[in-house]
Amino acid sequence: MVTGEPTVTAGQLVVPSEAFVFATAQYESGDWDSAPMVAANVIDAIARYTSIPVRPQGISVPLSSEVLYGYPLVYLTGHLPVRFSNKETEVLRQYLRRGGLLFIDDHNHDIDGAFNKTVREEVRRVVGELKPLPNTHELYRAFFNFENGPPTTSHEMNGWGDNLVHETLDAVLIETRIAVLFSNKDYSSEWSYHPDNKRFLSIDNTKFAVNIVVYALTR
Amino acid sequence: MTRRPLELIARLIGVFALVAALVVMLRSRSASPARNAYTLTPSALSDSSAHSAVSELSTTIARTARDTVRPNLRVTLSRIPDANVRSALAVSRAAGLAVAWTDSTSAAGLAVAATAEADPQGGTVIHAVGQSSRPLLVRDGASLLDSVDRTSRREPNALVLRAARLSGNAMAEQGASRASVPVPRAATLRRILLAAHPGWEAKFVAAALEERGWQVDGSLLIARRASVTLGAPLSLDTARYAAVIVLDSGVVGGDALTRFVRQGGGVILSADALGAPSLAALRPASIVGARPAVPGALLTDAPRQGLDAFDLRPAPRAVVLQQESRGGKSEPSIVAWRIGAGRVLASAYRETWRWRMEGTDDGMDQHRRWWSGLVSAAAFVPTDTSVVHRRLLTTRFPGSAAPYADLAARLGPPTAAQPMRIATPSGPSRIWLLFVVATVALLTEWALRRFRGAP
Repeated sequence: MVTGEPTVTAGQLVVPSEAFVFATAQYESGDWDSAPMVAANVIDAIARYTSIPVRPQGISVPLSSEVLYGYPLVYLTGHLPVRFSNKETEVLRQYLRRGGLLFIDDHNHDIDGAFNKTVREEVRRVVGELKPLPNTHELYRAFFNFENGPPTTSHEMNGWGDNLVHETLDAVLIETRIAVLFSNKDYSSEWSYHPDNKRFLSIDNTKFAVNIVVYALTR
Repeated sequence: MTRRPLELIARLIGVFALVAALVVMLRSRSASPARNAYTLTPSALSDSSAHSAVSELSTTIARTARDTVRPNLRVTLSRIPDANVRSALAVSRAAGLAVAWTDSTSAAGLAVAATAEADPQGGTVIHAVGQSSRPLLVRDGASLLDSVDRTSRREPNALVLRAARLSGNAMAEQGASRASVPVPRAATLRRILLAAHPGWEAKFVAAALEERGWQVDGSLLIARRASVTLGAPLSLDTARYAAVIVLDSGVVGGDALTRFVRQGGGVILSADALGAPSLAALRPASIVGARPAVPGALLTDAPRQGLDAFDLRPAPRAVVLQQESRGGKSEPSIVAWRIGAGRVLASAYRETWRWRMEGTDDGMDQHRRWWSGLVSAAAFVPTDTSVVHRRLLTTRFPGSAAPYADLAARLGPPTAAQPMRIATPSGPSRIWLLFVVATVALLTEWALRRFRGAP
């Protein structure tokens, strides 16, 4: 369902519900669009498992623009070093302070990679230090139940990248709310396939994306 | 002159004197209530001597309790007496004394009220209104809080202010008039129930209220058989909830909401809930059109103009609490009415979360305060029974919160000033005059008989 103007039909007002829009952060350095299929798969998962109204197409939003404030959940990924401009820093800081949630995924799956190192520094500069998020956090029960914390990815199991299975995600909390969620698990690769291929999966690995969206919408 | 005409004249004088004395005595008896008129001077009502004046009154009331004619009490007031003296005068009136008072004060009607604000952060709302055109001052025990001077206008001075913390009583002053009221204890607040589908509006309304200190429950339907709970939602009852916020249509039954409002609960219908047929009986306004957001207005001093809204048509009994000017036209944006013991508010605005996220740096706090204010305006606040009990014990009237009105309510309106006859409370009877006249008449008769040579 798409947000739109209210319409009056036969004397009764029809009010369309506000639809969720999946937004990808567009930053000036690096390769922000390294995982173009993620949006479609996450949108498909939301529509498949929930009754949350969702816009069928995702959107990319510049981090340097106040337009970002209209999308309280933003996904950011890449392989290359990330350095936020002053404007990006300022907008992102306000965004997080006002209640936005930034989900960052390391597309390299490599703790020694340039993306991981630089983006952690940038997050620390903008809002604070990333710290491990306990696997008992309500994020893992927001919709589906992930008793062991974040689900593993095929890239972790295949030994790619840093050859590690990351047991936890990292986060920056403001009060008790997650402001920045950070993953080294390479969900960007895990969720990058044609949505039709999901039917070949024994376990749909985009379920965790549903949890992130539900958490962002309700907490 | 011969003796016989002299005796006749003397006897006529004697009879006339006796009749006159009898008439004087009878007239004095018929006029006895006026003789029992008590006059209390302003000095007698001063704090130092009020006790003795009241004691004298009580003695008199006790002494005249069996009299068929009760004494009058006339009071000239140069200032409004304190609560104790007002009570004593009221008791005298209730005991049967005809109490009349003459207003020589320069005081005028003045009232002050203090109510605990229905807000988790506490605070007191003070309302003061004065009848005269002189400057109206509101203070607490520590300092002056605010003042207003509307001498150019004809309507009475009035002042409403919110104070986070007060010391002692809240007091209003206007010329010679003084009014004071104790500061109430903080209101006991119940939880808020959020009825909504998951979305940014639900998330940020809950966040705004929680940041302000409200406890929010909710059940957000995520899928057909799955929902996310906020807090610990229970059945709708004023024992648990102060208000319900309905953000969408179709998430809560109209019957349950109606029952809750009739119990005294508050309901806030956000714009997108106003079109729900199940809530038709509850809504204080209906939607008659759409009002698109003014681009860029979220970053101005009128941020709500930057929100999409509906044009509302208030129901006949409804009250418009807030209006908004858009394009030179004033439109209702918050409309309220009462149903049973509760209150329902309708908001014209949609997606208010944009105010917080896309507004100015103050937008977050403004959004938080605005939503908390809406809830405060509708919330059920249980009565502080301890305060009611205390008030019932002390007075039925506003008392010190409106001393002039209290005096008029207890004693009736003032009478016109008139010269007072100072009378002793227990004046002697005029029967002595009859006795003297009769004695003189007897002596005269005896003397006349002696002159005649009779024994």
